[in-house]
Amino acid sequence: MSHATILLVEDDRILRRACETGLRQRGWNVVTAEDGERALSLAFLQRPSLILLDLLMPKLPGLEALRLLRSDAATAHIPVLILSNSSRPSDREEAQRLGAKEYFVKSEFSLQALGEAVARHLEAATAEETP
Amino acid sequence: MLGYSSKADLLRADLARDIYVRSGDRSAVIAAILCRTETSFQTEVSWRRKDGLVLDVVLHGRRLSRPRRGEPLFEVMAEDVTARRRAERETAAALKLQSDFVSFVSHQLRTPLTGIRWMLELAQQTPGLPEETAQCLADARQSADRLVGLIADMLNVARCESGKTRWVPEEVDLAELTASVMHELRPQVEQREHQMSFRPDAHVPRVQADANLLRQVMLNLCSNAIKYTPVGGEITITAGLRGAEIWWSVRDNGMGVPLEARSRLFEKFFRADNAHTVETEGTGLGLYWVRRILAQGGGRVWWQPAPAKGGASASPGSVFTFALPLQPTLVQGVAQ
Repeated sequence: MSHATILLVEDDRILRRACETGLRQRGWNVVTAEDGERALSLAFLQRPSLILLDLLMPKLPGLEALRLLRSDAATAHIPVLILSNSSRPSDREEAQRLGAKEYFVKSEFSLQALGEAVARHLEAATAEETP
Repeated sequence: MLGYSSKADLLRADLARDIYVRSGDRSAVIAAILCRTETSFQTEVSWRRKDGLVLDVVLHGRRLSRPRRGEPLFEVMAEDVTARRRAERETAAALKLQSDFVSFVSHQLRTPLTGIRWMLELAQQTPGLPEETAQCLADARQSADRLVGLIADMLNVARCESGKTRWVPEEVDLAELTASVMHELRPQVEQREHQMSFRPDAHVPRVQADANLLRQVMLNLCSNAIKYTPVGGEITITAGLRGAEIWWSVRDNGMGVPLEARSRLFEKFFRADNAHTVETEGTGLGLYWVRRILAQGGGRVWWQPAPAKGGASASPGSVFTFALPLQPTLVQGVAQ
């Protein structure tokens, strides 16, 4: 599990730094992207074990990036957790419909809670892979 | 009303082309008049005045019988409701503007707020922090947490007022919901050294309600009980069937509600004077939102003083109760 690579997609510099630090403290490798386009290319290149995806981003909105990730065989299996500051039900429903595993309103969750969620989903993904 | 100079002048106009704005309206009126089973009708139409201005008109029709021919005729009164409808549209537009603004601002505020919370969290993990610094960080985090709550409150009220909050009923187990709420509030309960317990009736039937919203209602009422009860208090939640309704109550032995505040408790922005002793700032939106949301679900909420325990002179505390109908009432086939 400590060899897992997390792709963190977040356009706010401070949030990105804080979240990256929190994840690294738990022993995971972290790669970061500031926008949807970079997120996609990193996802294809690095094949992360899990993706944390912000919704409001330049160049490619999060929901669109999610749709593209889920529609490509190379990346469709990677669990995606949405990190958003929108509590609009329509955003949450759309993300769920597109296949996101969980949806977090960032301002309501601690780094600890997010870390625990990431650990949970990584474990679930590994359990699925093992025959 | 239509601006024609005489009856003759009016009769020269082509009803379908000049007066009725929507073709469907005229058909509806004709159908209502020809209908043999109804003795009255009321329908809203749009009519165009001679000068082109469009009016909103409510037509009230009453059947008169003419024994001579046996053919029913209608007497129709036309009520100009244009001004009223315009006011309603303006209010709706203003509410939507407010809601859009609040939505936009809330999302903008949340990002730097998240930055503050997460950085504080990381700072708190620094080993060997001096006691004072650790306290500063904890207090800062508490302030940030309050901001999170305030933004959520504002957003909830704005959405509710602009009609965007939908009450979607499903079968809900109140005991399960209550347990989940109590679990979430456990840190606060422990911090204030309260005893919190759930004592439902032996059998509490499931109720049709919006689980999400009802959970927030419970959280709101229970948080208040925790907050407005001095350390070491007792909070009891009960639930049971009362006639055709389910009642759910949270009772505390806290500061209660002063006499002059009792009729205003659920008003928007209202905070009772004694609330300031607990928290100097507060939105006064929580109970307002709770009442509105429950009303949307066909329920209601009220406050009572907690029954005094033999000879106590201090405030015995509060009981907040909400009632929900077991079955949502069906009006014209649409669940309320």
